[in-house]
Amino acid sequence: MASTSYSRRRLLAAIAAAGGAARLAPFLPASVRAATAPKRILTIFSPMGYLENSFFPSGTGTNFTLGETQTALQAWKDKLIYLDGIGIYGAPWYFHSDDNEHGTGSNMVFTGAKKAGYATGPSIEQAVADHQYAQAKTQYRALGLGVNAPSPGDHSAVFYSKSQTPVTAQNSPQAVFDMLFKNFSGPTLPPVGQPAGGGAPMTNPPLDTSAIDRARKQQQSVLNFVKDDLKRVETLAGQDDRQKVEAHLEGIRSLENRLKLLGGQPMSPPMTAAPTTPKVPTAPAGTASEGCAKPTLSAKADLEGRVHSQMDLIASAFACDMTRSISLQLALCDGGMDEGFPEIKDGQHNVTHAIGDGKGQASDIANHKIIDRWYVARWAYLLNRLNSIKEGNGTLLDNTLILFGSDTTTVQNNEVGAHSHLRFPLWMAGGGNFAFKTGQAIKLGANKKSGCCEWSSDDVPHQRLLTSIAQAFGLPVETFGSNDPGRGPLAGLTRV
Amino acid sequence: MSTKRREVLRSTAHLPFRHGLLNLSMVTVFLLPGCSGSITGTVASGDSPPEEGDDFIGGGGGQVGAKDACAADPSVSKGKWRRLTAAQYSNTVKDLLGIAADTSGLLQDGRTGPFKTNALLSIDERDVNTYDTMAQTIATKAVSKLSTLVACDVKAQGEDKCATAFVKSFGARAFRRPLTPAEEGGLTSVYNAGKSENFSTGIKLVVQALLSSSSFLYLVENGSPSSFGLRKLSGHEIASRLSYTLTGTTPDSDTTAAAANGQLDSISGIRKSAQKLMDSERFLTSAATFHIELLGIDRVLDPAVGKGPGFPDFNAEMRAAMAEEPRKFVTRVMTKGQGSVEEMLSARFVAASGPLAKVYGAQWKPDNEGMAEITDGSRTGILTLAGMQATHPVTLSPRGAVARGHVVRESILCDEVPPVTGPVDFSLPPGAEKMTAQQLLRQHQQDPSCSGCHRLMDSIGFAFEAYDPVGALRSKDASGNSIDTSGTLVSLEDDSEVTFSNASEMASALSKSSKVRACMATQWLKFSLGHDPESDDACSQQRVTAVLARGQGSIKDALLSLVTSDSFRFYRGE
Repeated sequence: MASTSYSRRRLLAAIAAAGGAARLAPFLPASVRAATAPKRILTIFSPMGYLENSFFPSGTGTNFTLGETQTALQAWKDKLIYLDGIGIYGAPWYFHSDDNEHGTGSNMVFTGAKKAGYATGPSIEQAVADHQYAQAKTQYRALGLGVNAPSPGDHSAVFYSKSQTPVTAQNSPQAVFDMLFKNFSGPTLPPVGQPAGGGAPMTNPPLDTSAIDRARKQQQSVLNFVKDDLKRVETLAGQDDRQKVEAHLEGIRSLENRLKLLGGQPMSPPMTAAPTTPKVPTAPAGTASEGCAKPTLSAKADLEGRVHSQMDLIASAFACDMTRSISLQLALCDGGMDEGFPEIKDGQHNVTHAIGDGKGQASDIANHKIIDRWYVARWAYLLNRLNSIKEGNGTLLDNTLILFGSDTTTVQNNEVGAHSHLRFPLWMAGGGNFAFKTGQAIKLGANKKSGCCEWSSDDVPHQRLLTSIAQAFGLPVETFGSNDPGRGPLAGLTRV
Repeated sequence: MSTKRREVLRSTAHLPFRHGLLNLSMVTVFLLPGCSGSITGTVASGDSPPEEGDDFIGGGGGQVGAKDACAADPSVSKGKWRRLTAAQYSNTVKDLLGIAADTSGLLQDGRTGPFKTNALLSIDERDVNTYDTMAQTIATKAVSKLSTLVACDVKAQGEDKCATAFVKSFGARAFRRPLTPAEEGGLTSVYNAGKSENFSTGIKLVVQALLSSSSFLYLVENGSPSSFGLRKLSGHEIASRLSYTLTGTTPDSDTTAAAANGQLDSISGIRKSAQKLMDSERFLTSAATFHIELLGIDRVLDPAVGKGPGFPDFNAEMRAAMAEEPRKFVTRVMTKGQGSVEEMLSARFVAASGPLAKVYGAQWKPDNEGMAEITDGSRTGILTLAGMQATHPVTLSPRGAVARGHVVRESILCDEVPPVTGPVDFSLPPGAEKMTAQQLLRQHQQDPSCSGCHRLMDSIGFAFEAYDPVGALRSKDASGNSIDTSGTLVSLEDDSEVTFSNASEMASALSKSSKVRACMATQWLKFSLGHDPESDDACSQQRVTAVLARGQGSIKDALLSLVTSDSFRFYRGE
C-alpha cells in the first residue's frame, strides 16, 4: 500500500507525473481518509424481470428463505432487502395509448416520473449524484455503464440525468477502463479467484512540482479557450442548440474540476446544509477505501466477460471514490442478453411472453428459471466483488446501496399478464451502513391479485421506495418523481 | 408530432420488441408529409428540369399547385446543429492532420431515422472527456512531425511569427471558416502558455484547443437574415453541409476557396462545387453509407446480430464481406450504371467472391472487381443482398418475414408502422411448427387487431422467404415446408395492391414506384440535414421528388437539386 508519508498534493502530483498527462486518478493514503466512508448508489437495469413465484422469498422479516432462482445469493442474504407488493405506478399499458409496456416500464422504474416522449425527471441515482456532487466534487458526478444497451430512444431509455435527457450507456469496458484507470499508478486488483491485495506497491517517484503546475496552467489555458468558444457559440444558438451548448459547457466545467484536483486545490467546499436538509454527513471527495485498486479486465470478451468487467470497474471506481453514483444497464427487452443463455432458443422475450399469457408450457417455466438464474449469478459476482473490499469496519457493499429494477416482469396467475408492472421485483442489496436495515423480506401488500389490467390498490407505488432512497442520501424531498398519486417514503422500510 | 418525437420513434422502430395488445384506436399509420404517390403509381418520364430563381426556389417544378404555394412561402425547418459523428470526426482529423483517430471511446452515435447523426441528444459528459483525451493524443502525435505541421521557416521567421501564421491557417481549417480576431487572440494565449516550455508544446496546445472546441465538434450554423423570417447560410456553412453530406468529411481546399470567393452564395456556384465533390471517390463512400444505414446493414458487424441457429460459419470474415458488399454494389451502380434509384433496387450484381461465394453459389464467376451478375432472377437489387437478409434474419420464423417487410415499409416506402401497445396473445395455433410463414402469419390478416399493421409488413416480407438467415437461397424453410414467396404490396393511400410472386417482381415494382422515389427524396434530405423533413421542408422535398420521378431517378441529379434547395441553403431562425 501507499506510504502514509505522502501528502495528498504530493501524491496526486506523483500520479499525474507517472501518467505523463494532465489527468489523474485519486489514490489517497489512509491518513487522509475520512472517518465516514462515502455513500454510493448503484442502479442496475436488467430486462423483463423474473418469474414471479420463484423470485420472491418465503417468510417475512429476517426469517425468510430465498426464492428458488435466487439461491446463488445465499452468502449475502443478510445484505439483501426483498419488497413484496410494490408496483411501477404509471407504467401499466392502460395508462398509455401511444406506448408499450417495455417503454413505460423502462422509463419509469428508476425515475418515478411521467413520460412525455422521454421521461420528465431524473432517475434516482442521478438525483442522488446531483445532491452529493454539490457537496463533494468527485472526479465524475455519475457514470452510466452498460452491456449491449442501445442508444436511448423514447421507447427504450432507462436512466436520465434530468428531465428529457437520457443517459447513454458506455458499453465498452475498455473505454471505461481507459477513462478511469489509464493513467492510474496505484495497485492492481487481480481478477476474481486470485488472492486480493496483490499488485506492485506504490513507489515514490521523484517529484517535480513545477512541472505539475506548468501542466495544469497549460491545460487550463486550453479549457479557457474552449469555454470562450462555447460561450460565443451559445449566443448564436436557438433554444434546442442552447441546451446542447450548456450540456457541453457542463462537461468542460467538470474537466476543470478534475484539473483543480490535480493541482491539489481544495476538493470540496465546506458543507453548507440548508436548515431543512436532514443531516447526512458527507465524506470529502477523494475518500478512497483501502481496496482502491485498478481492476484487471476479464480476458473474455464474451457477454459474461463484459458484464463482469463492468462490475469490476464499478467496484474500483467506487473504491477509489472516482464517483458515487453509477447506473448499469444490461440491454433492453431486445434480446440483447440472449447470448448469455444460448440454450434458450426462443430468447428471453418469447419465453416471458409464453408464460405471461397464461399458456406457458412446463418447458417455458423451466427456461424462464434458467434465464433468471443466469442474471442472479451475475449479481452474485458483483456482490462478492463489493463485499470483498474492506472499508472501515465493514465492506464496500455496506456503503453501497444497490437498487435492482426492470421494465416488466412475469406474473403467473392472471389471464393476460405478460409483462406486468405489478408485484414488481424492485429489490435492494447493500447500503446497510447508512440506508436501510438489510437481511429483510418485507411484505407490503396483500397481493390478492397481481393482474395486468388495472392498478391494484394492493400494490404500493414504487415512487415511495425512490423517496426513501433519496432521503437516505439526505435529499430533502417528500416525494420522488412526478407521478406518485400520494407522497412520503415507503412504510415498512426501516432506516439504520 | 414534434420533430424530436418523430425522430426517436423512427429510430426505435427497428427494435424487435414492439409488441403488445393492439389498441384499435392505434390503427392509424402516420404518413410522412411529402410521401406522395402510391406504390402502384409509376414514375412519369420526360419532365423538364426544375426552374431555379436566384434566391428562393420553393417546390421547384413538377408538382402542380405546389410551386405557387412554395414560392409564396418556401417552407424550411428550424436549424439544428449537429455534432460530428464518430466517422465524420475520424475523416476530418485524417484530412486535417493525416492522423488516424481512435474514436472507440466515444459513445455510440445518435440516429435520425436509420441514419447516424448527432442532431438530437445533448452531449454526454463522458464524451466531453473523451474528446479532450483524443485531442491531447492527436495533438501530441501531430507535433511529433513539427516541420510538416508548421510549414514555416522557424529559424528565419522566428517562432512567434510562425505560430501566428499557424494559428490563422490551421484554425481556419479546423473551424471550417476564417477565425475572428478574438479567436486568434485566444489561441495566441494558449500558444504562450505552452511556449514557456517550448515551441512544440505551444503548437500542440493550439491543436488540442481547436480540436476540443465546439466550433470544431459541431456544425455550428448562424447565417444571416433573409426573407420569410429565414436565415441564409454563409458560404462556409454551405461548404460544410456540402462536404459532410457528399463526402462525409471536412471541406477540401477547392470547396473552401469557393466559399471564400462567394461562389457558394449562388445556386450555380453550389451546383458547381457539388458536381466536383460528386466526382470524387469519397462521394461513393457517402452514397454507400446512405444505403447501408438506410437498410440497417451496418449492424452486420454487431456481435448481437447473427447468433443462433441458421448462422453457421458466420465469422468475422463473413461479417466483413457482408458489410463490404453493399459498398461494392453501390459503387458499381454509381460508376458503371446510371446511378439511379431504379438500379439500386433492380441491378443484379452481387459480390460473389470470398466467403460470399458460399452464400451465392460457386457458379457465379466474379469479375476483376469481385462482382458477378446473377442471371437466374434470384437476386434483384440491394434488397436481395446477403447482408440485408442477415441483419433482418428469419431465425425466429415467421418473424423474419415481419422484420424484412418492416424495413422495406419504413425505409423504402417511408410509411411509419405505429408502435403497438398493451399485451398481445403470442400463442401459436396448434401444429404451428409445421406451418409456413405464410400460413402462420395469415392469422394476422384474419385478426382485425393485428391486420391493420401487419398487412403492411408481412405481405412484403414473404418475398424474402427464398433466403435463409444468411441470405443463401433455400427452397424449404426451417421446418421443411416448401416456401411461398408470393405476396402483395399494399398502398396506404388508396388501398390498391400490387401482387408479386417473388422478390424479383417485388423489387422491380418498387424500383418504378413513384412513392419509393418520393421516399428516397425524404431519406436523402434526412441524411443531409440530420433531421426528418417534416411538413416544414415539404417544398424542398417536393423539389427533390420531382427530379427523382424522372426516368430511372438519377441520384446525382437528385442531390444537385437537394443541395440547391431552400432547406439546404436556409433555416428558420427563432
